[in-house]
Amino acid sequence: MHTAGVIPAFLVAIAFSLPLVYIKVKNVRVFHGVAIAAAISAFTLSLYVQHYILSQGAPIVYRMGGWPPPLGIVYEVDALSALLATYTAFTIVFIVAYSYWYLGDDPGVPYYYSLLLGVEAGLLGIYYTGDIFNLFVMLEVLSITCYGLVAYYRNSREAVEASFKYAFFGTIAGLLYFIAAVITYSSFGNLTMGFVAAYSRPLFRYFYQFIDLFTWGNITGAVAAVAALSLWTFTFKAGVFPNHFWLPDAHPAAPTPISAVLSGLVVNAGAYASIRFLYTIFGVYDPLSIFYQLSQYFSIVLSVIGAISAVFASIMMLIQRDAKRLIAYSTIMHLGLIFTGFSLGTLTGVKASVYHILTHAAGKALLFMSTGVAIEASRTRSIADLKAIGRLNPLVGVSVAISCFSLVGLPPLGGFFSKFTLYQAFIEAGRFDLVAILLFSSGIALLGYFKIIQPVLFGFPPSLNTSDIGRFRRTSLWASLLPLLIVLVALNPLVVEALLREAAESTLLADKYISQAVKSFIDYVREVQLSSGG
Amino acid sequence: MSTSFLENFFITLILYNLLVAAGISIYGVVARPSITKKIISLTILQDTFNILAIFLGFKVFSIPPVLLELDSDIEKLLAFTTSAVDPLPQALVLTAIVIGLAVNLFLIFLALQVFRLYRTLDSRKIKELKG
Repeated sequence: MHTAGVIPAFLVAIAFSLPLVYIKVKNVRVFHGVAIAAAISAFTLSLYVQHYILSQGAPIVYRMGGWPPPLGIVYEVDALSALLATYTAFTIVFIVAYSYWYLGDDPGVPYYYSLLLGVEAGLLGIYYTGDIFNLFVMLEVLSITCYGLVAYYRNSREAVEASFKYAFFGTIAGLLYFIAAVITYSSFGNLTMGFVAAYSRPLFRYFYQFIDLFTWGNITGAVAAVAALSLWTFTFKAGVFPNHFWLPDAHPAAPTPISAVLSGLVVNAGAYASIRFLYTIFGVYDPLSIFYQLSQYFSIVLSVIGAISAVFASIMMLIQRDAKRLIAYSTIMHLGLIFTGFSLGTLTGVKASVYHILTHAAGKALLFMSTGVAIEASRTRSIADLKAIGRLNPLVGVSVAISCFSLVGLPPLGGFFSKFTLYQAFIEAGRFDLVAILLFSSGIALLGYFKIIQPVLFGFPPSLNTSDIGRFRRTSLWASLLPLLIVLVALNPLVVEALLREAAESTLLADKYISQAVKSFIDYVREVQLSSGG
Repeated sequence: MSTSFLENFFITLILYNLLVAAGISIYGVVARPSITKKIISLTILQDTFNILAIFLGFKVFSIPPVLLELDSDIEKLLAFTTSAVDPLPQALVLTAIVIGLAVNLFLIFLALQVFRLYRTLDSRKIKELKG
């Protein structure tokens, strides 16, 4: 199964070759073509990987350079990571189509796509990797490309300041994760996710002696430290309450397609990595794990930070004057809800979190992209001065309305079903406080979204000359907005229930994940024995 | 006797050094207003954590982790594994240094750009964003 290993490397290769090709090829339209071809091929390959995993019924392990799991770096792809990777690659195709409309003949296009494909490589690497240190490397690939994209308008004071803030604190967050990886290595003796997961389960406890230099042999203390340090990093990447401060600055300062990538896709990496660390690797919510006693603390911490970010961000949405800042605060709110979902430790909770990641990603990307069209037409980001682009191109108006309704959770759309699953999960776990927070923050957020819907649909028409009007009716705009609109309608339980159940089960029960990693090691030993004639 | 004394001495020395360096760099990152000094403190913090990682694989009076004879017997292998340093933390640190190089260069470029746009590097005066 080499496809999983090829995808991030392929994207990185294209990303590095684009600035080199720019030395010879000066026509920037070529780069739009190359980027969309790369995005479509990455999507096709990740779809193939997902299909392979679902038909096989077990995670796949790809050994980098042929080294077996506890020694070398591996990629291990299960149902959850394949689902998120395919969805990410799918969304990026339309964001590239939107970039073609948004940037046009901008001379920075080759560098822009170099960084955008780097973001995609980092995201797919985070989803596919089966190695704790490789996750650090991929996190840094993702972070550095994001810092660069936030500072894309390098002569704008706002962009440079936001990027500096993001990069500076992002580096400190990355260092904390590095220390977490080092403590994991010093306690478990390896960095492969599948093997650390195996050592966390009692069957392996009798074969394995934990060495630990940090907590003098108390492995639970070491794991608590690792989980706390890495959760600090992941909440930073996800923009959840104590570490949200960079998000409302960085997301609006970037070009609009990048705002869609950052708000819709990049924050999911933090949520995914938290799920992977807590559920699969250390099994904090797995009664069979030796770290099960930590679950009560992590439940409290995660649900509290999730609840605070949901309520705080929904209230902050009301007082914003800048359209993009309002949407950025909505991102913090939704990530808070996702964190409360998987803080429960139940199957429905994880399913609801993953479902909400999917609906939020499509809704937020669509909302940023369509509001970006209105911002371009009215040449300002101030909500009070937004013009009714909906009268010029009805698709944009419909996109703004539908994506807002989906984010609020109105019935026929995907957002309703994901919020309803969250609601079910809270009721099942008896957490009525979280039910109240879900309903309260959604209600407050509805008022915030209406601040955008009102001027874009019912405001004054924009004053544009004829050549500009043609720009707002281009095919590339339709090609980027319409598919995401269809996705928002199509994300209902009839379509995705089976995929979500598969993803949540593979997360909650790590046995297949562990056994595939161990099997990969045994296969390697057999191969060596056969080749040496023993 | 002397071995164990030296071992304790060095380990204690390194640990206290790391603690002091981490404290100084966190003070610099949080409290200094100058962006240049913030970046310098950040590099000190990175190096502190890198040395901490190296320190985990280190043993006093150890040999390099290079096995010279492939077909040596189990006694020699055991002696080798107990006296050689752990090479994996060094590999991790090498990766972290390379990543840190990229991030630091990017931060320095951004600081230059901040200076071009604001004509100052005092973070108290660079406050167009609300946070």
